[in-house]
Amino acid sequence: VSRAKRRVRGLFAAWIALYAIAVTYPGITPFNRIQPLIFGLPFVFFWIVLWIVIGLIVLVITDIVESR
Amino acid sequence: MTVERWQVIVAVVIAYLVLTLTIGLLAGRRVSGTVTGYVAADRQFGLLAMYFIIGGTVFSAFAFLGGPGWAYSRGAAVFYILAYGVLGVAPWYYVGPKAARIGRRRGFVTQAQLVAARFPSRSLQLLMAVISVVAFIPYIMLQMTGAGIVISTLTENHLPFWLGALLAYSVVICYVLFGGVSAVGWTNIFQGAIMMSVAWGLGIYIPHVLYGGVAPMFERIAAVRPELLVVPGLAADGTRWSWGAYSSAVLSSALGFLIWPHLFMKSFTTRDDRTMRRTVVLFPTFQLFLIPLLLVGFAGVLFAGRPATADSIMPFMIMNTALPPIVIGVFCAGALAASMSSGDALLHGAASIAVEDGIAPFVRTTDFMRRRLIQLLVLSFGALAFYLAIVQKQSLVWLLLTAYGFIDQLAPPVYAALYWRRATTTGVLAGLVAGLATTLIFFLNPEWKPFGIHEGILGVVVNVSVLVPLSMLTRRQTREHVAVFVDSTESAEPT
Repeated sequence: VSRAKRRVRGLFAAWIALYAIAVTYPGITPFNRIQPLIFGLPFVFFWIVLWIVIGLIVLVITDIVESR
Repeated sequence: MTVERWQVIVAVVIAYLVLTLTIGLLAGRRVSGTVTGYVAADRQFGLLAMYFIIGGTVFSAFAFLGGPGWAYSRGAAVFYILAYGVLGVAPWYYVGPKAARIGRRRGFVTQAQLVAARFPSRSLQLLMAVISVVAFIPYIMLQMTGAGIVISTLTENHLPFWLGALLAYSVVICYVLFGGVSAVGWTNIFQGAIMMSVAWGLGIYIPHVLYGGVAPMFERIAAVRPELLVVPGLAADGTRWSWGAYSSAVLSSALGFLIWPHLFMKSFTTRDDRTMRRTVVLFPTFQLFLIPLLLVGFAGVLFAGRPATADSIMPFMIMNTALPPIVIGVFCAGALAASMSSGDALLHGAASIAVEDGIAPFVRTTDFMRRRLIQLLVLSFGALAFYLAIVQKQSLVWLLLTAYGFIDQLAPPVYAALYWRRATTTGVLAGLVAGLATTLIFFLNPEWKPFGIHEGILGVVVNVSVLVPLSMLTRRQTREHVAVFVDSTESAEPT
């Protein structure tokens, strides 16, 4: 396994840990608000959706690096 | 003679069922008559099929009815469903191809076969099979109840609950019996496409027609019932849900997500590593489709009428927003698709596991006999779940969360088999038993749970605390044996 791939795997694991913290207690508390509405959604709703979108981006980047 | 609304709806539903059956039966003719053909589709599923199998299987009647039901009655508590999906699937970018590679090399079709090959023990394999099947039954019941609720509500009871469930599941059982997993795959592509279009269409339309858009809808809810819009939302009794319960619901669902044996088994159906990886990469796009469904649930909060139960908020809103009958019919098909595309994989998974892990290791069987036995059990499990769904109207969301607690206990054995060299059979088996016992104790005595933490997470803590020290104390497995499972990270095969 190349050094670049090993680094990607480390970052991937770190991202999963960060994700788990960001959407559960206590990591979610600073973002647990209704206002401002974003795309019409309450802020905390948007926050959780944002992590899904980040997930898509992280997975696409990981896939590009791993396929090289 | 004028055509009534319910007759149009029934016509659309029947057209949908006929089309699904046709696709399922045609698909079954494409694979070999072996057990690998029936259970793992000759390992030939490509990206399109895998994408919709995972998506269609994950988004069940729970997403279509339970999700909006929770948004309506418990507000932000429902965000736990949005939060765990990607979290649960992402590790599979690495775990899935690894399991698939070992499966291809050693000819596995079930999860327990893989675990019992690393940790040779027929008791372990049998125990895993029993846990899987027992957890599947309430999950299948939930799907049947969903189909029944949708059909009976939308036809204004012209087709009663039992007939709706029977109709939908006769079709499912028919194509699973004759087509196996191949039928499950190809019907899921069709069902997934219907589901997604229906969800987005209604999710945008209903808030718009009732409130003038999504933002005005949430502004009004924020003014009247702000407690519904911040996490952790409400508990079932209308009081505030606890942080412990919310957070552990996210974690226990994420952990158990792809450990569900019917999903795990699908890694054995993929053609190659690339397919498996791309399926994971695309999964978040499927997760986003929960958003419109939740919007419909929130739209119900300030709506004048009340549905019979929170779980029927979705069909209730649809019946009360003056939609043309043909649209209602298509929604009905979409909701049935959600129910059936999960129910088929569950029925097929339950029967395959019971035969491959519960019977085949103990009795000498031929390939032909096993295939026949699987079919017989599809029919028996289907009949049992149907009977239970009719006689008891238990809160099925509760049943599903309970099932998750037991499925979570399979996670330490699976991860240990693939990643921990020092794990031993004794450690894994003892950990599993201890974890199950813990889950059961806290399930039966919910008032004992610290901070309201989900019993599955408590079970996993005990499971791992037994697995690790006991493995360290027992004799390590040979290097060559372990290498087959732990070191198969890089693929030497063409991809």
